[in-house]
Amino acid sequence: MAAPADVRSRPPRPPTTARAPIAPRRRPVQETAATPEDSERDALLLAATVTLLVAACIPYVRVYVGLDFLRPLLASALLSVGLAWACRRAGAGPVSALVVSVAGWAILSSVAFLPDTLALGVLPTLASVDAGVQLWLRGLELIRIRPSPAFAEAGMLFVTCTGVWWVAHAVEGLVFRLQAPLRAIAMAMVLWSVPLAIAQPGGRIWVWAVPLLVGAAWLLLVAGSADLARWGRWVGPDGAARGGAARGRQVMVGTGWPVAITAITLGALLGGLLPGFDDPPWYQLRGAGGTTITTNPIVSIRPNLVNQSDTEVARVTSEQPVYLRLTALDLYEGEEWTSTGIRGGDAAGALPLETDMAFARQLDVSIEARGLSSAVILPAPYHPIRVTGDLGDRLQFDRTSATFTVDSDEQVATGERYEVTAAIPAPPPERLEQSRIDQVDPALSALPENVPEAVTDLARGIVEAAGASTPFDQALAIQDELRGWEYSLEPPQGHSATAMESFIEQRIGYCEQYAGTMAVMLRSLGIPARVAVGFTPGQPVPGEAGTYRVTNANAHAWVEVLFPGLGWLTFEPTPRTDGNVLVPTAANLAPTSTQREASAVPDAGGLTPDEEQRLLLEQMGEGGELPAPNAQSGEEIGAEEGGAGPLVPALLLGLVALGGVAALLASRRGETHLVPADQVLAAVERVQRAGRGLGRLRRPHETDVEYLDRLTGGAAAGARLATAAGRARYAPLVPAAVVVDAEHAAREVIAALGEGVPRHRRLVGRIRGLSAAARMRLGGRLRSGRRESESAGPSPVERITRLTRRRTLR
Amino acid sequence: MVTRRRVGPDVTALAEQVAALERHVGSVIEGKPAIVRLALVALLAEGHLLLEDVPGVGKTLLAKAIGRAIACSVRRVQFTPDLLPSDVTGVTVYNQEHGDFEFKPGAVFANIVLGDEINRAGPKTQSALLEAMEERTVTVDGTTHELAVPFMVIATQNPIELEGTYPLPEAQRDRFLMRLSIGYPSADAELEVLEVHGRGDRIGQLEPVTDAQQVAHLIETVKDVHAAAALRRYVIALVRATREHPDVELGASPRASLALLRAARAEAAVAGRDYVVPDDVKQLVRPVLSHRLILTPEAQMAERTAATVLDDLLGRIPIPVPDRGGQ
Repeated sequence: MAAPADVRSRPPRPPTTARAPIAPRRRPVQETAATPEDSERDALLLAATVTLLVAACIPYVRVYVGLDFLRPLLASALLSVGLAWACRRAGAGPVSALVVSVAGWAILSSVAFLPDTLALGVLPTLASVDAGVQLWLRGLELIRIRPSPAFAEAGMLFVTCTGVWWVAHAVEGLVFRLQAPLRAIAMAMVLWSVPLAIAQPGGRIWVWAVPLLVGAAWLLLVAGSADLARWGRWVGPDGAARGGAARGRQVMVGTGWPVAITAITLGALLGGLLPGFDDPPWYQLRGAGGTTITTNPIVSIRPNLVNQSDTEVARVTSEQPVYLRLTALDLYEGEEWTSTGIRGGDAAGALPLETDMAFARQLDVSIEARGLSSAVILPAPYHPIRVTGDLGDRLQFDRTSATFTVDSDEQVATGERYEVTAAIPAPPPERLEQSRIDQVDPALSALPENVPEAVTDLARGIVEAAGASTPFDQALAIQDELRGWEYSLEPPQGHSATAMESFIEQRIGYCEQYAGTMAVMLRSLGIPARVAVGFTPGQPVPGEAGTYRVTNANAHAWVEVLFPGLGWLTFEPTPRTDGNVLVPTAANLAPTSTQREASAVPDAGGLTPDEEQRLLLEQMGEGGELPAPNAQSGEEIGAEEGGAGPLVPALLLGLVALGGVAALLASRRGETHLVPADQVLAAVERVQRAGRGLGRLRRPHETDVEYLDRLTGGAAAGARLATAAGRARYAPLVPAAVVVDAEHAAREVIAALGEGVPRHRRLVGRIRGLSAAARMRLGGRLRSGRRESESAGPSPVERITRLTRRRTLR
Repeated sequence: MVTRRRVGPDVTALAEQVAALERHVGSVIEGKPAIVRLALVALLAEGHLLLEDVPGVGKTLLAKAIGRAIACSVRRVQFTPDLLPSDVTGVTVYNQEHGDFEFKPGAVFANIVLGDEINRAGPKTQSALLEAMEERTVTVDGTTHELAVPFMVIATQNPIELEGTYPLPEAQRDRFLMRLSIGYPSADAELEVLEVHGRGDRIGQLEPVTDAQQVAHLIETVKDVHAAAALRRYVIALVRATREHPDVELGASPRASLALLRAARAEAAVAGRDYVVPDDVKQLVRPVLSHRLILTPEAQMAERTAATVLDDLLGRIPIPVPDRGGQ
């Protein structure tokens, strides 16, 4: 009888809040938006959800080239939310909504990615499923091999859109069905953080964070509008109450903080015991000093190359324009050209000639490092025969790929110089014919089996049409043919089987495709070829004759063909629009002026070389590091380089910490965003948890009044909480004021329970309470399932029959 | 768009009025506040009350006190073996003055009908009353007469073991919302009885605190008290469980579910709440259900009673958690 007595003296009813303003499960349609305010709030909440999702999609700008990817991505997010919203408005349950969403996703992805397999233009068929699976696998593979930012290839986009679709569906469900906006925000943060985690370090994270935070804040505000009492509480009466009731703190409410503190302490104390602690990282961003760099070398130089197209990499002094080569990619396994590895070795010892100096032109090139402070591979003209200068002693040389590396522990300071003497192969054509290419290592002309026939056929066709019989003529013929194609940054890149096919079909692409394809074509003819990467000669510095400014915009890829005894000869298949290329001809194997200088044609293309450059580097790399934004000057890069390394882990750590805090908030203060009824019940749950910890479990048949009366020994706070709980559970309306009272009462009850219990017992109790909660939840689910399936039992007639029978027997 | 926001019943006023009634009636029936309260709950739930107890504990006094505290008509029928049905319902007689038949209402035409020792009347008379209780109308010679509102029968009966009684059949007991036993007063209360009863007619001095019209309004208010779906499930679970219990030969009927929920609504309103909580149901299970159960002979021989069965069920049936599942 305690509860009724309390209620009678309750204050005049404050303005009430509808308990479930958002339609709960299975609520009839006409009641979904019971009042104008409700439907208005519903619309606001929907808008906030969409904002949040769009904000979470924006960072994908960093992993995809261009903005074309945005359309399918946003379409996925909006359609997914729209479908889920429509389902909810139509009164569908979560399972039906899921089914509808799956259908919507299947149709959207089929229409967007597999239009050829559709029946009636929209209906996915079995062929769509088949193609979808293929596309999915391809997408996963692409994600693995493509460094970011990458072109929005169908496979990757399919995977991304699928992810966005389901995250959007989950976010909608969390916001509207579970009314857990905090969790929804955590979900959206997953979507948001993926591109930032795989993109290259650097940049200003707040640029990407602000839209997300705005979306999140809006969502929280709208979602929290129903329980302003709760929000206000943080600065209102609760603070005062907390100050007064110090003992309230004796028992910490919730379990988040102890768990977090334990985790942090354990991590700090025992982390060092874990295997691998303090070992060198699995992947050295800057390569390991003097040892093998096994992954694509481009990755290790990308940070300072891709940063900014106009960033100066080096200042070169040379009599003639010369390609500055970084390294060569000599391995093609059907996907990308990669390197078999670069082994550091003593430069002085490794440098002896492999070029016949009789047919080489010696050239002294002085290189002044500008933006190479974190570089591992240093550019040099081919073929180097001597290196001197500040850096000379520190350089190491890999003979196979003719690559200079510097110990990764060392910085290459801006202004440091090294002089390379190169022997540029320039043999006369007749000498070339004597070169026996059939004696070279077969690995240098090895190709996988999946090279498309179209490529080999084309190679053969070009060679036959040109009547070329020698390797040199054949290479020249292919180069000249390719130079007649169109240069563009737009087509899908890569040299994988399908990409190469579409490239030769459309005859449009950029340096990396040209060089990669030509090298494959040459190999298909048995000619040892590889792809060289580095820089075109750069722009002459006005007023300083023989000085060239090499920037990231000059990054380039070209083809090298081995002529034993003569070295690797350079071929240039790319019709680069800036004309900053050296194109060998039959008459002049080693041109001394760039195409532009030769033709004196100013910049012709509408394509900026920076873009090309960036694409190239993205393309060639294999790792997952991400380019910094393009808005930094060279100086800034130099200054920031030291901090860039630790910044990434710090950023990730920060994200993890943020996620942890969010999770903590969700678990402990998760009620914040709940409607008043749920807040009250959460308070009751906290008390029950405390009770469980003390071994005083709530029995299933106990009402709130009975349980709290037993738990508190009839304390007034217990009765108050019980009244609030009854209201929360069974009343149609729950005033916000009840929440405050319930929470105070809950705190009082918990504090009273903790009195006299030793600290360690309380901790043990809390853990027991948690595990008991899990057990009870599971048990409850089983029980309720059973209850539903219970049969109706004997009918009244049966009962009566049984009754009379028994009476008769009597 | 029509605002559908629910406006709850004004239970605060109701609770105040009922509290005043309780005080009033309680001043006459010493030491039995729970019984008084249950009787008022039955009144508000439009139910009838069966008071079963040994003679002399104040059954009739309770009924009369309630009748006095509400300014309404009270009729008393002393049931005896020779009481006729027409004595209860009324009879059509020929009026010589006017030269036509006129209806002379019987005892049930009052707001509160006190049926004393109902189990002393023959089954025919009993059922005449019970039908009026159920239908709230009386049909005599083809004419239907509406009974007053509120209409409540407070029947008393002596335990059936006593001599000269016709026990109410189970079907008829079902029509009483509650069966209460007043029980002997405590020593203090009994002392009080002695002192107070020495000084004249307490009942006669009792001033009414409300009237029939207001009570009718209160009854309407009670109907608006919210009973959540989970709570209705609880009621059903309890009632169904009585049918499955091994000690029970015949369990409670669906009418019992209705009665239990109706009573729970009234109980909630009396407690000042516009919604029912499981505690309301729990408190009412014994008075509302116990007279509707027939135990097996084995259980009876083992001296188990309906009350023990119901206690057993209350200790077993889990309280349903509302759908929206806060936890």
